[in-house]
Amino acid sequence: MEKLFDPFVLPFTIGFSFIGIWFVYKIIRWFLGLSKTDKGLIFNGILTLKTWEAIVETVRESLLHMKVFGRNTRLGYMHMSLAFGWFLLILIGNIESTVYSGALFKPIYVSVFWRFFDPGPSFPQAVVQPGFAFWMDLFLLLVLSGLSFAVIKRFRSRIVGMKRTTVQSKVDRYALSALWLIFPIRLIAESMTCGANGTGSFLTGSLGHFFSLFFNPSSLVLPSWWTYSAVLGSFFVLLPFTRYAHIPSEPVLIFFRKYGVSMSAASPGYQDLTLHACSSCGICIDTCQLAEVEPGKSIQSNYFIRSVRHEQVSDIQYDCLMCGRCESACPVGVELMPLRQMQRPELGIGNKSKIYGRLGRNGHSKRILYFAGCMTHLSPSIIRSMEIIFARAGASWGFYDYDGQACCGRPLKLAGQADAAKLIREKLEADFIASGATLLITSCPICYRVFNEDYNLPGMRVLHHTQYIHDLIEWNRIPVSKSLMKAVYHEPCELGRGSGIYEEPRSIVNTLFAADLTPKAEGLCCGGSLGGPGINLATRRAVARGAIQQLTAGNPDVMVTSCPLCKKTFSAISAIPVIDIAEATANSLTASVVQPEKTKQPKSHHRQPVAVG
Amino acid sequence: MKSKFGFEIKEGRQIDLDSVDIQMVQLIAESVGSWKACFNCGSCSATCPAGVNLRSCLLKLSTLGELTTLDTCFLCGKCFLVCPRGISTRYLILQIMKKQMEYGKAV
Repeated sequence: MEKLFDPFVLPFTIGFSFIGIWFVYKIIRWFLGLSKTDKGLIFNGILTLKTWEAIVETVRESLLHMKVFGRNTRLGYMHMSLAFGWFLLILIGNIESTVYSGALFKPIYVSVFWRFFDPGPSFPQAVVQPGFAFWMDLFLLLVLSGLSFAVIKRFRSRIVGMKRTTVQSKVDRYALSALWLIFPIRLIAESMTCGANGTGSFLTGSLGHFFSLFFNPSSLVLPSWWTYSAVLGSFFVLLPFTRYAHIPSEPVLIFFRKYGVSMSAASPGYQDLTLHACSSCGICIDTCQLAEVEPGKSIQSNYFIRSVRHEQVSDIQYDCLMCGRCESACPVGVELMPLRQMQRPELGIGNKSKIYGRLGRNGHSKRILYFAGCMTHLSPSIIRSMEIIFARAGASWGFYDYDGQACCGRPLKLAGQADAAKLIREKLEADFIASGATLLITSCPICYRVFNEDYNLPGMRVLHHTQYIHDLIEWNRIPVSKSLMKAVYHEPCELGRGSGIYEEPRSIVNTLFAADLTPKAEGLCCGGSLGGPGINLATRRAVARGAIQQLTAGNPDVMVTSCPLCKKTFSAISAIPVIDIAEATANSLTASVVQPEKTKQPKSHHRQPVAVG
Repeated sequence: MKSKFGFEIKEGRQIDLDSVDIQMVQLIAESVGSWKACFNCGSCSATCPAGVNLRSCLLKLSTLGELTTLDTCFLCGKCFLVCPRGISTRYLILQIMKKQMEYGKAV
């Protein structure tokens, strides 16, 4: 066989070597940037079933893009055809070159430019008998069809089911142009070779034949292959600095995640890996409610990741409501909320525990410890409703923050002050355990989430009051009746997406109200979130108005929620009443209304309890 | 310095513009525009579960250029919910804390 080399392979080879060296260097950096426990997790997991699971997930997500398919079929097809089609081209091209050259080990460019070295079977026959040439043409067609969707998406993104598409940075735009050129030029180059030799299958063969009708393609064979190689090479050289770094990084992220590595300040390597694994597909832009309200402001997660990666974070880290809608929609599964939290600087603010030192706490030696939360104290009717429910259920309960002066620590954590939040957590953990209660009930999803996620409370179950009320209704402990009103349930971010409690509140709403008009969609943010200190009132109101518009599309009589903060935010502008699920339950308690017995409170020396009895 | 003519000048009432450094106020007001709307009603101080007197802190900051320590703040955001002027108080507090950290001016 003749020599398998031509100078035109050089641009490709240089680009490919560059990216190979970069990738190996990056993997080493990412691994060394992990904390000791995370490194241990990888070593322990590598020879287990987790590796197999990671391989399966890589095929499903990096190649087939199943999650994107679940969102929109056309968008999924676009991603799948580009990724999976290209993968098949590489794989089949490799097999073909191995079979025909007879060499198992050969330079990588041989298989990439195989059609140049071996023009394949002669033209009309190859169309009817499917061989390698046929399959290679078919996969090239698959990629080209996906590419046409990508071009359409740039100009009319609605066609592929996206309201907006990512605004590219300059270097991304160069890389995108190179990527778009790769496959059409490959088609032309292969067709030239096929046309000059009278070979090829249905795509390259017919196009080559078509070319040869007008001119002699052999003079254009080398120039077209040179162009193809140059475009490939420049794409590879640009890749590490653009969003296309996700192509090699995403599988690494999947493997690390499967072994149990997660986002933490101790593992900067994992953080860097995550920044590279974002493909900037723009699905997070569509889910962001702020994109509707402030279209010009690029604070959505893909832009955020881009600015963190290129170290351009100014104050945009505070301009997010942290509702988590983008995180649950992200097809790559990037842990966006912890990533954002980590970008908010630690300000080292003082000793939070000293505020608790002077407070006497109530609620010892009772089975249930009730923690209202500071937001609930701004809506005392929720506390009164809980008192009625506790009384009807005959529960033995104590009220921890009866004076409204306790904080769970999550607001601090959301603002990036993890150290201060830890001080509060330690104080509360000690208090909760000392109370001897076995059940901790809170009315605030924000508190619930942090109790559940961060607190270490052995022998104590944490419930949000929706779960508690749901159980009471289930066990017939409280006699509820159905109201004639139609209700819509607003799902608080921290309870639904944040803590995975979807069923219980919906079941209560179905029990208490004549109809449940909740739209079948991902829960919305009320705009009142504690996550975004930098967002002003006007923007928050606009977010709330948008959410109300979507929620009240079915003309409900009342809006039910289970978060005091959502309730406060909505009731400021809602046309229909907004009530908490506890209030709805207390209202529906039939028969003679039992007055809640006055809970005995120790006298607080600086403020009277506001919300008791 | 008592005068015979029935009037006097008290030292303490003289305004010395050089003694007040308003740079800090300007820096903070730049990043939190909504602060301009504050009319010092004190709703924030009244609702605060941590006992922070935000009103007095902001008054001191705007008139004396003095940064009060806000160490006990939980950043719970109740002051934002009750604020009649819709001022982003959490952001304001975060900015004050940030400036304290950067310039080490905590009192």
